[in-house]
Amino acid sequence: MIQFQNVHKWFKTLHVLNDVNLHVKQGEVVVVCGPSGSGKSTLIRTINKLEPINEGHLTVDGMDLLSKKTDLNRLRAEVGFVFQQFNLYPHLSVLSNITLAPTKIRKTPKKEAEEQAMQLLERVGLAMKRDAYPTQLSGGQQQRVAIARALAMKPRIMLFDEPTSALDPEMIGEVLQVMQDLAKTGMTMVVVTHEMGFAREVADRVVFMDHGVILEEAQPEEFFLNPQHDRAKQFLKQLLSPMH
Amino acid sequence: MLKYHFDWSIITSGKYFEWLVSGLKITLELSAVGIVGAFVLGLVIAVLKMSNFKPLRWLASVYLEFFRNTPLLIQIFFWYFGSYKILPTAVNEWLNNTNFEFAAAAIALIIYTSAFIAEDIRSGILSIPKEQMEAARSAGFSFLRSMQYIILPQAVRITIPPLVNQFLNLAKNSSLAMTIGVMELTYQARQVESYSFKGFEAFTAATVVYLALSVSITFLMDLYNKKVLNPQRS
Amino acid sequence: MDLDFQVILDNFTYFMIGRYPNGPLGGLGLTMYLAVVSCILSFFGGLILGLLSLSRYAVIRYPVNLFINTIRGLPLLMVIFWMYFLLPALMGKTVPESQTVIMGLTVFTSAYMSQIVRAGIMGVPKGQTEAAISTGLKGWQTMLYIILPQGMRNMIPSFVNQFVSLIKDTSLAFIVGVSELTHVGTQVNNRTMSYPTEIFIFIAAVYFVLCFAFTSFSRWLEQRLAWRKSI
Ligand SMILES: Nc1ncnc2c1ncn2[C@@H]1O[C@H](COP(=O)(O)OP(=O)(O)OP(=O)(O)O)[C@@H](O)[C@H]1O
Ligand SMILES: [Mg+2]
Repeated sequence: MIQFQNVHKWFKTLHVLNDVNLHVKQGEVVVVCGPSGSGKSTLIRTINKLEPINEGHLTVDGMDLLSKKTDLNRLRAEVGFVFQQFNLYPHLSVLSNITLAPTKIRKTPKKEAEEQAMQLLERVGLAMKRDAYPTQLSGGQQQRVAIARALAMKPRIMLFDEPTSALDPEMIGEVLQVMQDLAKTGMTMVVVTHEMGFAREVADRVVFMDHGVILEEAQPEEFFLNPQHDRAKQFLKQLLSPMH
Repeated sequence: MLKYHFDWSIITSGKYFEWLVSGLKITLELSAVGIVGAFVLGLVIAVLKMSNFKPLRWLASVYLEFFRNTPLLIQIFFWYFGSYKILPTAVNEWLNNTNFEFAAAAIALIIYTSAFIAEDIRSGILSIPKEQMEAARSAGFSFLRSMQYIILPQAVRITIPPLVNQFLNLAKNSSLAMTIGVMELTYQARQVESYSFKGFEAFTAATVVYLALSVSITFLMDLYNKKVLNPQRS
Repeated sequence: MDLDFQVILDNFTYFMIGRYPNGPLGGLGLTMYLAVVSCILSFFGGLILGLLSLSRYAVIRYPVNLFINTIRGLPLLMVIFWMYFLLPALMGKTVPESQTVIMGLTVFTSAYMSQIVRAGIMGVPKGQTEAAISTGLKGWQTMLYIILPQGMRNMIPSFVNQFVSLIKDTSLAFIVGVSELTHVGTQVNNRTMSYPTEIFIFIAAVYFVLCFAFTSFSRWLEQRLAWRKSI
């Protein structure tokens, strides 16, 4: 479904992705973790080409991201993206946030799009907020709407960049629950997160990055119980220490 | 347009060249006088507007609103044609013995621009967080010393770019002085056009001079922004 | 100092609407006409220039920015003279003075409006664009449905301020002989000879009332929009 082959990326002189190889199969849930600045966001943002890569090969759902022939808008419509800061459209109601892309791109009739949007809102438990504006919602609610918005395009892949890091602790659970339900439907997911409980329960694989390099790639059990790399051990220790 | 014969020589030398140069000289003189006057007056109005005495504040507000919300051209006409009825006789006599056109244009430019400058100075000072003053006072500085060492140096740095912008506006606005017969650059360009029928060349010359003024000042300002305001960026 | 405002009363309709309806519209009416028409045209001019100045293609961006900065570097009077001079040559026929002035005001104000549009667009957080294109919206759709509606909110008070400048700037139409308020004022002044003070105080007051009303409106909008944003 997603295939990285010897991928490199630089920001000017900063080597942010260093020879990344990663293969995500259909229906798989992959959690990416690592210290701040290690290139996790950059990695996940290359998948829908919010960041272009400089070297190597990257194919997503059969589309070659380096090929000029690849229709970028189609790729992005196939790949849902959920941001740390939600990025809901503040000038549109919850319902319009969700129906905008289906009506403008898929040319879904308005009524049909609204029905589908309501089903999605039902799924994330926010049907009663259809007419609210984003600023009237809590962070957790906003993030759930953002997930519904991404799902409205019926994507084949969903990407999450630290979807719960901007949330108050009591709201993290509701968002993770929605993600867990989504994983159960067989959605292919790549999730950047430090929620190790989620990784343990939902992920098929955990990827550990540092300084733009994938240092470790393992089943969750294995990764948590028996990390191979020193950097990974250190990272896990910090994450689990009470100071955090 | 096709039949038009360009003749750039007429504006690079000879009588018309001299006209344009004398026009530029007057534009620069008028701008210099205007800038100094508008800055001083603007500073005074800004101080009044921030004073603790309500009538002074009110007076400053009326001044600001009135002169910002009337066209400069009307203000020029007022000083040129209409001021004699409200000015004391002594002032009128003095004005009549000077270059009255120039004086009327300068007064109008100074008053008009001072209203904008006062507002820029005021918002510059207000933009300094009041914690800065509190910090300075609790470090033992007196109010005036706090102003001198802490508040004003910061305020000046952020006020300079909008001020320079106002100076540039003043220089451009000085072109309106031609309407009362001040022979500045635009006036002379028009003069060259009507005598030589070489309007294209004359206006190009004036345009280039105005742009040279704007570009050089904008360039200095960019430099200032880079070096002083955002020195951390390369 | 004794002022006699009778001259204002005697010429009041002339100040307000010129010789209309027996002749062309003039005075304050024409001033408003010039300002409104130029404002509408400059709105679109500014929008187009602003969007082009942010184009990702340097071949578009550079000339557009050069044009904008050239206009902003010139006095309005020069721009009007250029129009006066170039329009007939370009159109191959004489152009009425009022149209010349409208063109001059439009070109001049569009350049300034483009900066407002630019700032408004750049003020919308980058995440909005990223979110929009991530759902598959095309560049122009993102601009039209996501960026502009949000940017517009920041632009509106500045647009109103620009309109106030436009009202003041229409006074320059006097110079090419368009009989708007300023021109009518100088005419009455030339005819009556002895009331310049009264006439120019009155005209200043008329401009002031108009401009101050819009300035206050813009401030009100700014506060209201800021308040709405914060809920
Ligand atoms: N647009 C950019 N231009 C220049 N450098 C960038 C840019 N975006 C990210 N970087 C740098 O690239 C490196 C990797 O950034 P990235 O955002 O991918 O890290 P991350 O692992 O997601 O970190 P975090 O956990 O803090 O989100 C960092 O050093 C960052 O400063
Ligand atoms: Mg990140």
